[in-house]
This record gives sequence, C-alpha cells and structure tokens, in this order.
Amino acid sequence: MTEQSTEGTIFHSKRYTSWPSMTEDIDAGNLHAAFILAPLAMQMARQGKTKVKIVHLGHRDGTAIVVPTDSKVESFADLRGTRMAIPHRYANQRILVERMMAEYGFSEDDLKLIDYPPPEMPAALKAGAFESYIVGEPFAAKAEMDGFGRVLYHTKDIWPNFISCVLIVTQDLIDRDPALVQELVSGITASGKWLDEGDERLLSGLVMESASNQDDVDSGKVIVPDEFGRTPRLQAAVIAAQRRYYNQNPELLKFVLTKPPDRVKYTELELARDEFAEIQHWAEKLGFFDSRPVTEDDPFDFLDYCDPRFEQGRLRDLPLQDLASAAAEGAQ
Amino acid sequence: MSPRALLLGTVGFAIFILSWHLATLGNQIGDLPGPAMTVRGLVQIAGEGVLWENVVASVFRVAWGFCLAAGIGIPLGMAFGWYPRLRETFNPLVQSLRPISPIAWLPFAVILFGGIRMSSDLAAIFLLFLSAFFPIVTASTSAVASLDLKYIRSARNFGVDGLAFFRRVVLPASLPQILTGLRLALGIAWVVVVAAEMLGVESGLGYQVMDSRNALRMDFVSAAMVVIAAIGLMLDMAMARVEATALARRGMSRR
Amino acid sequence: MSQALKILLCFAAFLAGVTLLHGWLNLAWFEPSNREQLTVAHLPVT
Repeated sequence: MTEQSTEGTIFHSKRYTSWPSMTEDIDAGNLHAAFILAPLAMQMARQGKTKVKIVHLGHRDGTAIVVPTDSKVESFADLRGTRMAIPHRYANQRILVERMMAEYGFSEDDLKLIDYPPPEMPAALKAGAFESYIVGEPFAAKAEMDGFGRVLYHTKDIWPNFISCVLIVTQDLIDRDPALVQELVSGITASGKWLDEGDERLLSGLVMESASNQDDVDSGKVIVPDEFGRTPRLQAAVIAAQRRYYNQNPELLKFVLTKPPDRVKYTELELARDEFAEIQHWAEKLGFFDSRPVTEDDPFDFLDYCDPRFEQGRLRDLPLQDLASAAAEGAQ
Repeated sequence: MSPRALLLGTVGFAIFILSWHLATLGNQIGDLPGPAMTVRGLVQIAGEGVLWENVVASVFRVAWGFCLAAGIGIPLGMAFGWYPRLRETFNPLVQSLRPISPIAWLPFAVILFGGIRMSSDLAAIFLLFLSAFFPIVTASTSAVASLDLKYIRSARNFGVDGLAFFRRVVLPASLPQILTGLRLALGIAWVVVVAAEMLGVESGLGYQVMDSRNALRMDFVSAAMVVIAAIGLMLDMAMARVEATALARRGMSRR
Repeated sequence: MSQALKILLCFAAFLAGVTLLHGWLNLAWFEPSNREQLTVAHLPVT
C-alpha cells in the first residue's frame, strides 16, 4: 500500500507468475525483496547462493482445504485413499498436510499429493482431477464463490496463525540500506494494523464513487464503489484488485477478506522462534535441505534465516484522510 | 492474393469460429471462452492499455533477438558454406545445439544476465537469438555450400574476384535460400518469445497469458492468443514481402 | 540508394522505434523520480 503515500520510498509491487522465476531473479541480483513461501525462503537461506533473511510476515492464515460441495468428506480422516493437490513441493501447505497425515495416522500412500498450479485448482477439482486441494487465497474462495467447492478446514481450525508466505530481503540490501528495510517492515506492520483495527477513514488517494468527480478520475485516484463498503478491508480489496497489484476480481478479494473476516489475519506479523522451529523441523524431515543437510557441525538456526530486528522500529502512520472530510463526503 | 483465395480463406475462418462458438455456448467467465467473450476481452485489455505494453515488449525482444541472430548468423553461415574445413569443424556442434529448445536455456540466461539494467529483457533476447540463430546459420551454410559451380567458374573466367565476386555472384545466388531461412527463423522466434515470457519475465504477451490465467480471466487468455496469432501473421507477411521484393529484383521470383 | 541499404535502414529504424517505445511503456525511462525506489515481488496468491 505504500505506493499510495506521497513521501518516503516508492515500493513497487511486481507480480510474478511462478516461484522459480522469482528465486532466479533474486539469485541473479535483480530483486532484493519478495513475499515467498516460508519453507522455500528457508531453503534459499540454507543453500546460501544468495544470502536472504526473513524480516517479517505479510499475513497469517488465508489458506484452506477445499472439497467439492457434494463430497461426503466431513473430516481429514475421510480423505484416506484420495488425491489432494498442493501448490508447491516447498510450500508450507504441504507441511500442514504432512503434519495432519501424521496426526491422523496416515501412511505415505494414504493420501496422494499432487503438485498443481493454484489458479487451475478450482477448475480441476470441478473436473475431478483430485478429491481435494489445499491452497492460499483467493483460489479457495473462488470455488466457494462459484458454488462447486466448500471449505473443509480453514487454517485457523487446524494450524492457527498459519504462515504461508514471508517477506524476505537480501542480506546485501540489509547491509546496504537498513533504513529502507525498516521503512518497508514498518509500513507492512502499519498496513496490517490498519486492515484489522482501522476505522472507516479512507486512505489518501481513495475516493468514494458518489463523491468523486472528473478530476479524481484524471489524477488516477482509486474509486471505491459506494455499495462495496469502506472498511479498511474493503478499501484494501479495491486497491489490491488493481492491475499493478493482484489483478483480481474485487468481489473475489472482498469475499476472501470478509467471509469470515478471520479467514486472513494481518496482525501478529512478528517472527516467532517456535513457529519457525516447527516449520524447520518438518522441512528437515521432508528433505527440503538435502543439498546441505543440517548437522551438529553445520547447524541451521532461527537467526540464520530470520532477522527480526526491523520489527522493533517505530510504527509509521498511514496517510489517512480525516473523518471530517469523510463525513462531508457522506453528506454530499 | 486472388479473390478466390481470399474467399476460401474467409470460409476457413468462418467454419472455425462457428464451431468454436457452438462448442463454448453458454460458458461463463472462467470457463472456456467463446469468440464473443474473447472479442469483449480483447476490447477491454486494448482499452486499458495493458495490451499495447505487452505487444511492444514482445515485438521489441523478437526484433533484437532476430536482428542479432541475422547479423551474426548470416556471415558465419556463409563462411561455413565457403570453407569446408570450417564447416567440418563447427557444423556438427551447431547441429547438436540446434535441437535444444531455447526455453531450456532460460534459467541460465536469467543468471547470465543478472544484476544489470534490463536483465530480464536481455535474457529473453538471448533466448530469441538462440532460437533464430541456428536456422539462419544452417540456411546460410547450405545456401553457399550448394552454389552452382558453373556460376563460380564462369565468374572466375570473366576475371571477377575478391569483394566483387562475393557481391555479384555469391550473395545473389545464395540469397533466396538465406531469405527463406530468415523467414523461418522469425516464425520460430515469435513462438519462442511467447513461451519464454510465460516463464521468465513480467511483461509481454506470454506474460499476459500466464498472468490472466492467474487472475482467472480465461477471456483475456484467448484474447492474448488472438493477438499473438495476428502479430505472428503480420511478421510473416512482412518477411514474405521482403523476400519477394528482393527476389523479384534479381529476376528470381518464384512463380 | 541500393535496395539492400533501404531494407537495412528500415530494420534499423524499426529496432530503434520499438526500443524507445518499450523503454517508455515498460521501463519508465522518461519519468524522472527523486524518491528512493524498491521493488517487492509477489505472486497473486496469499
């Protein structure tokens, strides 16, 4: 959201279409900050080709296991002997499934995991390519909104505060410009706090449709349809739906952000040692670090892949319009 | 093009569009898009300006990749054609690199051109260079190697030698085959640019296809496909035109 | 001017034109900015 403000650094959001092209760009030195799958981030840190550090989370939860609406599956145990699509081999979604398989006493053959591109998952579920899938939003909400899928579990029910993607920056950037990293992390913390706790004040650069005029259109202001609503989450849905961010249908993002509101969470984004220890434990167990196994002589610990110091910084203020002008707009 | 050919060509398109329309009747956005949905999608992305950025990005990469390949490939291929020793040394290498799809080079290209300005463009241009380079070298080599000996002998008898010999005899005689090679190479490069942009970069028509897929907008995917086809056709027609004029001037136009 | 030269010039003009257009549309070559910039990558999945 920082592109909305008029001062400070401009953070450009660059939308990739695959994880490898992102990691290759980081290794090539073209890219210094990214939201990336948590275990993939650890693996990059472990391989050490490019030194990267996790500095913050972008959100929590926001992942779901989806089954067809007419499916008889009522709990994870019913998935025995079926196929499930996962977004990536090194995704935390896979760790979640493996963790549940262990919990429910599944053997490796009891659930066949298939690597599948997330955007294709809803259609493939409908076509019967597999019996369930686990994915980050908005591709779970998509099946729900279109009516052919239902959520078996939200992550809040099976691994509360689930971590899907994390913010990594290169060590190079941390050394070169720690203030810039600080600005980025503080901005994300502030945006998250606003998303979960903010009031109906509009972000600067936004205008309600009924209060907008030709000048607003010409100056590129983001216009919020009145019937859409103006809570921070709905403002965010309108912003994120734009082409330069997610390029998604705003109604779908509205669904993701509000049905129910704790489907995705944007507070408590601080890095917690025990949560990463759990992810690392499973990553080791599943062989994510096989190219450089973790041993006593060659340890791998929280501070080898996380740098939580930027979370201590001063919280910054988001550029919000004051309520007076919002009320004036409402009266118009 | 004769009126009859034009008519028949139109009929071909009509049959295709009609069966496409019937097969996708009643589909929603997100399903397989029909022709009407595709046209609406096309109007929308063209209106938003996204399309033009992507078209320019793809054409830019192809133009550079192709020109570099032609600039290096033609002289190299002609040298291979003229000097058998050179050909025997390097042609097996060229022929064994040729069947590797340029897409396979993508990860290396990204790393090779990493950390500099426009690196993703350079990586894509490198792939396009590879895809066009091999057909051009091969065509130029065989064009010169298969020169009719009687041209060479009679030219020598008239005392034509050196640069004049190259310009007046070798070049004109090998031109038709080289031009065909260029046209073929441009076609391949266009196919490759779209594939390369699906994997490596964040602009271009291939990116448009992948990004629309991620955005669950299949109508934008098919709209991008229509644009890919149209531009591919235009590039080919332009090359055919160059080929025809160049040959007509030398009294070698075909049919 | 020979025809070969004309074709070459056409190619060169096309290359230059498409390069400038690409720089303008995709790389913001002609937009001065004195604010610091950083690109943050993501996929359209949470």
